[in-house]
Amino acid sequence: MVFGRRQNPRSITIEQNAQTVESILQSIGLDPAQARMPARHGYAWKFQRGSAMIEVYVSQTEDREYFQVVAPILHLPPTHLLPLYRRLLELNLSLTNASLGVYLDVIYIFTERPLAGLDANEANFIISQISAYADELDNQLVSEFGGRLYSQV
Amino acid sequence: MSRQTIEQGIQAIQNGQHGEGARLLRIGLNDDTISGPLRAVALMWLAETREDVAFRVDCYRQALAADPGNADVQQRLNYWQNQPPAPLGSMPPLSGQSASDMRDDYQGSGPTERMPPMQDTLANTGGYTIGPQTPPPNPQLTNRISGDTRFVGVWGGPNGDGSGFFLTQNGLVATARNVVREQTKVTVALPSGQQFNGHVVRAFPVYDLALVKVPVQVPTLPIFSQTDAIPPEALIVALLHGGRTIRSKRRRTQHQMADHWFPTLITPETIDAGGAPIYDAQGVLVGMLTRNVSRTNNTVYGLHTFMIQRCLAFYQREQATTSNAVLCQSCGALSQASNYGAYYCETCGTVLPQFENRPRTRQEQTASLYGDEQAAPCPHCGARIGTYEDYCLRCGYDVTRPINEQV
Repeated sequence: MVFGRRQNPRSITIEQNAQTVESILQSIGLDPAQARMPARHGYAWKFQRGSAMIEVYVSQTEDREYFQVVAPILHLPPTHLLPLYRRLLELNLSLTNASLGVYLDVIYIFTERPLAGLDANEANFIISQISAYADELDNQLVSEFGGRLYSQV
Repeated sequence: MSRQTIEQGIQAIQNGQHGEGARLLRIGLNDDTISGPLRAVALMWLAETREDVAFRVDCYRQALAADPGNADVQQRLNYWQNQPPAPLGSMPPLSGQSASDMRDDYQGSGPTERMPPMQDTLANTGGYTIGPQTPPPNPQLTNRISGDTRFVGVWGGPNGDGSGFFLTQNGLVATARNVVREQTKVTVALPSGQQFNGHVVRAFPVYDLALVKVPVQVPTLPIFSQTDAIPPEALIVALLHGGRTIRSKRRRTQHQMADHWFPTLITPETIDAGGAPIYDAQGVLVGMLTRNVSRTNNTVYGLHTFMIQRCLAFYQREQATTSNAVLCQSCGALSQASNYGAYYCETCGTVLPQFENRPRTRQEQTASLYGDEQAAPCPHCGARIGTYEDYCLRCGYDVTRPINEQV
């Protein structure tokens, strides 16, 4: 779970969807066991796509269950924040089914949808889409505004 | 070397980078070996980088001293010496004449020492025609107009035709920002049928106001209201382009709103894209019609004259105190960022048009333009961008709490 949302105990639905995500990760050449990361409530995986780090969560907020894909892109630079924040908002308008946001000093690309009705194809599409956006935008933003790629020096 | 610098300066001006162009020209002109017709040409271009009359006159005087037989310089000097000191804006382009047409004029009738061809830059000017290839200012080009000047049409905007009215005798038109949006060029049509190219020179989106410069001399201006209030139920008359008149009243309301807005009984379906002047029963200009509607009923608001005049005064102050500022199409402010080689408007952060399709790389030296170095360093991340409601604008740290209390 991300950004400190409250969570309820996991349900069967979450576990079923977690299995779906693991099979998707397997189908794109990743080892789900290796990608798994600890999550206090729900399930989470983390893997590298190009230069971007992708995190996938299957989780529950109060009585709703969510599928979330999050990619921390870069640490904010100390300067040129006005044009950078504006660019992020402009990009938000052009992204499909994804949005850019800032949490603490990190820029994230993020998407979320309810677990209900999620199938393997759609989950796969969402993961690929966020991965592609993150991989494209991180270098682009760093080269123009500075900062540093997430978790890199 | 100096000659090359002058060429680069001219090229920059042709690309609309007046600040950079002026800087390069000054460097070139510092070389005393640059003399005669070449010096005159450089000074003529330098004159085009600023709008204030005194500066231009000074440039042309120096140009004439360098090349006394240059009739072009003499003609320009004669023109500008007879102009009032207030900024008059850029010279209007000749109708039907493109930048490439003028290229030949420049080579053919320019000073005897000609600059090397600059075909590429001319191809990119997009019709922007200031510069010595523009024929010398001719009083006949600053059109004197007559007839009804109480309203004008503002055509060619993305939201359809709008209206406007003259604010100054040197052809500054007020219209709604909604009419022009991000456009920089519109057509201004007079009731007499005359049409002129108008250049948007400033916009104030927060007041839905745009200022458009037209190359005309206006014999009479409307009488502007000297009060900042319009009584409820007072008769108001909006004059829309095409001569359509809407008689209405200032709407009575209990709703608290900023002083510069006043409610009307006019519905948006009955008006154009906005900008029409609103007169009172005595024919005094009290405001401008906008398409901003009430939250509770389908009627539009007017922008009070006092705010329009305040914006005009602000713009005129900017003109007098800044040089080579360019209009930011996104926020309507005048940006000086390009003078420093910076890519982004210092007011809104948008990429300036001349840098839109160019590769942009990190610029450390322009940080102060964006207020990045004005505040005390954040105790958590060290950024000097400042805070909003005590939270660092970079890392979100609450600067009022001791650092050891936060994770």
